[in-house]
Amino acid sequence: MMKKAFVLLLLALAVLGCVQHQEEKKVEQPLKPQMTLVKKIQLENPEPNKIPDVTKERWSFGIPYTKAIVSPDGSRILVVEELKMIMFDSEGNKLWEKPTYGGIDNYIVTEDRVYMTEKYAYKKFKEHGYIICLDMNGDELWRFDMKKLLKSLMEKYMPEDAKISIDCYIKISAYKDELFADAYSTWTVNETHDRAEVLVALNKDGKLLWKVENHGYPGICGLSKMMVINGKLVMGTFSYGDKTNGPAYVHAYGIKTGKELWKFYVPHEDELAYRETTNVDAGVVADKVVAVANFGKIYVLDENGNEITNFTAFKPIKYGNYTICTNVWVNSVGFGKDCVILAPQKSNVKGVTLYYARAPVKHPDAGSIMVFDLNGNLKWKFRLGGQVTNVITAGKYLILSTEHDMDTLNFNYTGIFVFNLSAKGGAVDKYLGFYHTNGPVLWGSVGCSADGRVIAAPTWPVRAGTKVIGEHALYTLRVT
Amino acid sequence: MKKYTLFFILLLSIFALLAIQAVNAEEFKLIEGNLPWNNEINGVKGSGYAVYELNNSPKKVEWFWRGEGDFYVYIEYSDGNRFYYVMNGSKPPKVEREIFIDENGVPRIIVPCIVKLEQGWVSLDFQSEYQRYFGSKVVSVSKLRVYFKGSGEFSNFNVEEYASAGRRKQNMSERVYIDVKIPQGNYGKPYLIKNKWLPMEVTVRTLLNESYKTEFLIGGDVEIKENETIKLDIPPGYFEKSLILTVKPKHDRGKIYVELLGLKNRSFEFITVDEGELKSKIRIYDVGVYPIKKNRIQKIAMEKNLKNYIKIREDVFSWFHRLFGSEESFDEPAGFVYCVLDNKMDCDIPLHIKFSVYSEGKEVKFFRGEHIKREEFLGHTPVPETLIVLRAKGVEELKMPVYADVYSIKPGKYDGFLKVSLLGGDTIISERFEFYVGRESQIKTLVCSIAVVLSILSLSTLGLKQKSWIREMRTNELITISLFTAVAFSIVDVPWFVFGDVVRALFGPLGPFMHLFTGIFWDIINASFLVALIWLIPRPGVVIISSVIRIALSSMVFGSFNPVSILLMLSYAALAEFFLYIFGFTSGRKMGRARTFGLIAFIFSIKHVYSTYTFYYIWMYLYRLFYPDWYINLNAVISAIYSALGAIVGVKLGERLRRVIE
Repeated sequence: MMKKAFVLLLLALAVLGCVQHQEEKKVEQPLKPQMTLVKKIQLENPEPNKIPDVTKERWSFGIPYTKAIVSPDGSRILVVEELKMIMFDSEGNKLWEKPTYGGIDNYIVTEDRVYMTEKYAYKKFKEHGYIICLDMNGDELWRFDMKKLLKSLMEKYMPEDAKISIDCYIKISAYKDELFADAYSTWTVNETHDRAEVLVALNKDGKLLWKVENHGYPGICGLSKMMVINGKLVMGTFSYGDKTNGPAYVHAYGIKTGKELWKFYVPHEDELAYRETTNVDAGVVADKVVAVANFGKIYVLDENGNEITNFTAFKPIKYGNYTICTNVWVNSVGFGKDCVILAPQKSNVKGVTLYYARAPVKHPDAGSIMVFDLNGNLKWKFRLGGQVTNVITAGKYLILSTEHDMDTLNFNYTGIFVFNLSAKGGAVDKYLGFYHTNGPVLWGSVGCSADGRVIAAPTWPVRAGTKVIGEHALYTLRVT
Repeated sequence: MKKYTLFFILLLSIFALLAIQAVNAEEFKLIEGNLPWNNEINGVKGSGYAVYELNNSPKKVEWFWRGEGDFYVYIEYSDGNRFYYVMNGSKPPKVEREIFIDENGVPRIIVPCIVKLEQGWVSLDFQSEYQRYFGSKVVSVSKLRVYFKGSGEFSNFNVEEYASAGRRKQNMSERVYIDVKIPQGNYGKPYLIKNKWLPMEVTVRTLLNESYKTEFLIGGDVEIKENETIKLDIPPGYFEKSLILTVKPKHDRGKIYVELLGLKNRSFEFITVDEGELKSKIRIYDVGVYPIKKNRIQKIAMEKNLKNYIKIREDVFSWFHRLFGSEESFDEPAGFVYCVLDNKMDCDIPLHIKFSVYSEGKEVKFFRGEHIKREEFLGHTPVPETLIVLRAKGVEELKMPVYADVYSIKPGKYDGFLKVSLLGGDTIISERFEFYVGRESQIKTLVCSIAVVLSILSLSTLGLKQKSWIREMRTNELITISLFTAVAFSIVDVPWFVFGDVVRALFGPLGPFMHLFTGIFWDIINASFLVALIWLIPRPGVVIISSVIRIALSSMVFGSFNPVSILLMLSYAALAEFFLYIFGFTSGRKMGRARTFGLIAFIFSIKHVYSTYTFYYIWMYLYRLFYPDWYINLNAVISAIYSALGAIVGVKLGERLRRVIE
């Protein structure tokens, strides 16, 4: 009897065992282009005082949010936090970790090198301002002191009673084996803004090839990108006002000589702008130079700075007595192979510009993405729900990151959008996918490979009042 | 007993097995085809076509599949995202993008994911799958379908875990979105104002597969200035259009109808508000201009205890502030205009608020800060003008920056004018008030510096001269100094220490006039004792020695080592010593009686006026307190009169005592 019962029990367990099968590793193969999360890496939680309240003015200023840079081949991802930088491989495995030289501003990762610039000082002086070059193991190869070049200019032009604003902000751009760096220091004297600036070309060993010095605005480079077209380095400038500094311009330097080759002025247009400053973001689209003014005016030039055409991408609207404007800045402008991409930001009421001032109506283009061809035709327009914080064109893809909707504080649309620019049709046909991130992706923090297939997007937690939204994490995505 | 136990275990095992089979059997229903779900194998085996749908929201599942034909599992998440798991060897299904406009008016495109899986066992966690392909949200599965076409086996389907999240499904059928704003922010209960033309924004967004010619009709219980019918050629794909129309209500309440012919229509209710009612139900309190202060982490805050007084930013001595670690910046506001707004209406009211400053009837625009050029990154020009939405039955605090820098604003009295108006409408409340712009006094810094120099001088003189002073003085003179100092200390300092708080409590309401009482001790008695002492011992060093003894007494008796008091006492002593010496009182010069009285009264008046200003300024400087100038001046006048009186009394007292001694 006992034996029979035991056998029955074993049989029953065997049947159960068949139902609860052994787990097998599944093999997945996507059948069409789609965006996939390779790995989500949780990064160190920021201190509570570094979690900004998005309802406050200038909430992102001074926040040491994390930035990610992807090597052109997509095999390495460098994540730079406030105190450390970590190199991951494309699968999200940590390769090395190093301290960040006490704060870093801009970075470039090439196939075999990492270039980074030391963080600027705000309202105080700094002794050095280095461009640091590391190999792929994080070992320092060389460093170049831009402050040393700026120092003599500052001694010459900066009065003793001047107040320093930004000391040694460095922007870099790499082209083949050359590195171009623009560094400036700004100060104020009796409310007048002034600055000293230096543009240099370095070879890959950090040797100075040439330098250009400048005093005053608009200067050499404002908030613009620096891009190369047929041996010419083009960039845009910033002006506090045509009457104050003269009009801003886009200009080009010979990459071998550092000689200024041409200059094209972009006059301020008061009826389009909500304030008198002009920022010109310059880029290269096909064989043309495109200059985008912050108030929506776009100039298309040939490589010698001759105007081919110009058009207005967006205009202010009238609502009763109010003029509602919008604008684009460096992180909301992108240059594609045959198009220019704009992501107009917040609606601003002309003359009523407190941060929390609510525009009576939203500007119809604010919060959208607009793609123009170089003849000024709006090829397509789409609305993402969140505010665009990064516009990147790489390979055939347009990669956009978003933060929350600034008007409604809706966080449902934060993440990464990918469009396939080579697909025929409008926005719907080009749309490849959206990956929702837990928290906003902030300005200038997204990196991607040269073909746009590997995307690294760090998120940063924020507060809306007392509620904390999001987390500090790195999302590595792959378009397969 | 053993028999029963074994039988029970066996029974339990069988029940468990049956229970699993039973759950799975109930979950699936046949949607299409003719192959029934086989509960015994939890799936289907054989040849044919069938589509099954799971009647539940699974989180983790597993199954076994193999065969020839087209087999796939379709997953739909509650937010609309879709997934196709296709068995290796099957033809991928034809999928289409789902396009719709969500409830926030945002166009959405759902691109289904298609993934090929190997034949055999499959195990999936749908939450992880969602996070891998769509995002980090927690979303449940709202639909699971199994497609079986061909011959083979789909079996052993097992739900390992069910989703705990709800299954609220996104409405994905909307292709047209219409919205009306009068104006933005007024979502709760839109309103129009009686007999007023107001702008109204109408937005339409579409996501159509084909182009569509239509008309946009706007009507209802409103008069519209512009054309009410607008022709629209809507292209395929995403399209959006905004119109701003000017409308006036016809009735007390009603509806605005917006129709996109052949596509969609929508109505929006509104109420009509009377402007008079609005004016009576919106209140404004606590209007004023307040200076700023910086807290420990250099954040700007408003100093609420100082109403209608701001200081000019950045005077020529600002380097002195920086010396002590405070970073000044001219582009920071000098103060805030502050008010509390109260809305007793049932609807949200968008308001335009503007603060202007006038002097002699002309607006002084420098207070707006428009002249300040900011850093590139800082973006907004900070003017004291804004648009806000005052919530229904809500109270809201509002503060806007006011600028006053040394280069553009003169100190003095100004008229502030705060205007609250409806968007596109008239002013509903305005408040005019006076405020004062002061320049951070340079005298204050100067006086503090003099006090420090004089104290150092006093101490140095004592250090250098103390031996010769004491050597030259007779013992009885030293005893007299100590005696007089001790008496002054016990008459003035001790009672003040004991009754100071009571006196402040009793005479505090008198404000600056409290000094009429306290001055008797601090100015009359102090001065008279010191002058009497000088009259008895007319030698240099007497005042300094007496002051040092008094500091020592105060330290020993009360344990008080207040640096401010020490600084003040020593500087007074140095000043008095200097004047007494140069006018001949301690240097042996003879003079007439009238001149004596006049000069001694003058010296002590000066000394006490200086001590009054120094006292207040040092407290203001070191402890960041504020006393208005009139308050300090009044105290100084009382001090001057009392000390002059005390000095004359002191001369009389000294003469009598000298006669007694002689």
